[in-house]
Amino acid sequence: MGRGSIDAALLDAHARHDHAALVSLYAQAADMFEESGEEDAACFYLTHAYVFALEQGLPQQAGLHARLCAKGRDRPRDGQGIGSAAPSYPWARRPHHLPW
Amino acid sequence: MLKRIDAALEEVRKPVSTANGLPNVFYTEAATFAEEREAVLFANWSAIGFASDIAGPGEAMPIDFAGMPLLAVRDREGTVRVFQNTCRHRGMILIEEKRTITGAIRCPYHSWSYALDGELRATPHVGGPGHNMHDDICREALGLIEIRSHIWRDVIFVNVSGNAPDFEIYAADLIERWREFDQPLFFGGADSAFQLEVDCNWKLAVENYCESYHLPWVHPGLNSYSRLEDHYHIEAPGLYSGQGTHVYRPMIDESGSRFADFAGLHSRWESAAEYIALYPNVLFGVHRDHAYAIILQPVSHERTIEHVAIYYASADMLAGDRAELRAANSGMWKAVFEEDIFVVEGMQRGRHGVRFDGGRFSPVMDGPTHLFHAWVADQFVAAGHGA
Ligand code: FES
Ligand SMILES: [Fe+2]
Repeated sequence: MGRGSIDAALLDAHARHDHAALVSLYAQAADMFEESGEEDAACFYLTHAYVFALEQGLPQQAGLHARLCAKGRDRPRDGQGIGSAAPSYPWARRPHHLPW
Repeated sequence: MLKRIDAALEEVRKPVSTANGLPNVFYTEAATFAEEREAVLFANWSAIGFASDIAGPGEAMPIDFAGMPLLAVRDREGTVRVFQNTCRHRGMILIEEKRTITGAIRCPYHSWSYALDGELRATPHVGGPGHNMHDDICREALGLIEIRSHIWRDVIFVNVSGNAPDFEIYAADLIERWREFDQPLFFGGADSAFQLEVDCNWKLAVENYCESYHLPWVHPGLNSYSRLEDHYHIEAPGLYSGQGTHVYRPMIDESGSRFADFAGLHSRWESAAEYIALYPNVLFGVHRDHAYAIILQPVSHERTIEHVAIYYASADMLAGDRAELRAANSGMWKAVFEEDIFVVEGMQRGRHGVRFDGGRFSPVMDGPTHLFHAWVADQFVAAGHGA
C-alpha cells in the first residue's frame, strides 16, 4: 500500500470505528516511514498503533510498545500487562466480588 | 437562608411528638441540594448502582451521582472499582455509555489511556509528536481518581468524601439484623428490573417508604391482606428505619408453584417481611422467597430516578419456566411503587407552599420517617450548621 491508499484506508477505518483495522494500518504506516528513515513520522504512527492496540487489549501492544521504548519514545512500566499494578488506595485491594 | 436552616434543624431533631419535618428549602432550593450533596450524599455511604449491571469482565458503566460523573468498572479478576469519570488531562468525560472495555479506557479527546484499575498507561504525544513521555508528566501520579466503594446485597455504595467509617461498620446494625439473608442473591434479569422517574426530591421517596401509615389509603389492594395493624416500625436511630409486616404471603401461580425460599431462615420469616431504608438513598425489601433493592438516584432537588432490581434465592428461579411468575412479581411491585408516585410528587409540589413549616409527625405512626429527617438534620449539624 502506498502512502495515499493508507491514508484513505485510515479515514475509512476511523469512520467505521474499526479499531482493529486502525492498529494494522497505523503499524503499516509506521513501517513505511521507518524504512524511509523518517523517524519522527514513524514514531507518530507507531504511537497510534500502540494506543489502539492497548485500548482493545490486542497482543500486538507489547511489540509496538517495545519498539517505542527502544526508540526512546516511551518507557517500560513495572509489572506485566494491564491490571497488575498495585492499586493506589487500600480499599481497592479488597476485591468486591459478586455475591454469587 | 443558612440562619433559617440552622434554627429549623433544632426543630427537626426534637422527639417525634414535638418535632417538625425538614423545612421546604430541603426540597425546593438548588442551593440546599448542593449542600446536602456534600453533607449527606458524599459524606456517607450512598448507593449508585447494581453490581449485576456490570456482571462481565471489563464492563464499565457511567453513573451520574447527584451531578458527579462516576464510572463503575469490573476488571478481569472480577473486582469492581468506582472512579471519577473524568480524564486527568483536560477533564474530558471518559465513558459516555455502558460498554465492555477489552483493553484500556482510552480518553476520546487526546487518547490518554487507563487500565481498569485506574493506572495511567499511555500519554500519546505528551512530549511532542511521537514522544509519549515527558519528565514533568508522572503517570504513576495521574491514575484515575478512585472513589471509595463497597458492594452489599448487589448494591454498589460509594463514600465520596472518603471519611465515613468502613461500610461494615457504617451498616453493621442492618448487616446483623439481616444476617440470615446474607446469602447469594440471584438477580432475576431484565424481567426483574425497572426504573421509575419521579418529579420529586429523593428524600420524599425515603420518607414515604419508611412508614406504613399510608398503606390503607394509597395501597388499598395491599392492605386487603396486609392490614395496618399487621405492620411494625423498624427504628434504628442514626442508621436506618422502615417497617415490617407479620402477614407476608408468597406469590403462587395457577399450578400452585412458587419461588424457592432462602435457605435456613428462622420460622418467623414464613409470614414476615421487612422494608428498610438504609440512609441515605437505598430502599431494601426482604421476604422468604425474594428480595429487592431500590436505588434513589438524585438527579436534581426536584427529580429522582428510582432503580429497582429484584432477586431470588436460587439459580433455578432464573429459568424460563419461572418467567411468568417473575414477571407477575415484578408487575405487582411496579404497581405498588407506581401507586406511591402521586404522593411523592404531590408532597414535592406541596413543599412550595411557603407557609408550610415542615409538617408535624404522628407521634405513633411516623417514627421511622422522623428518624430519617432527624438523621438528615444531624448530617447538616455535623457539617457545621446548627446552634
Ligand atoms: S482530556 Fe483526556 S486525553 Fe486530553
Ligand atoms: Fe407506599
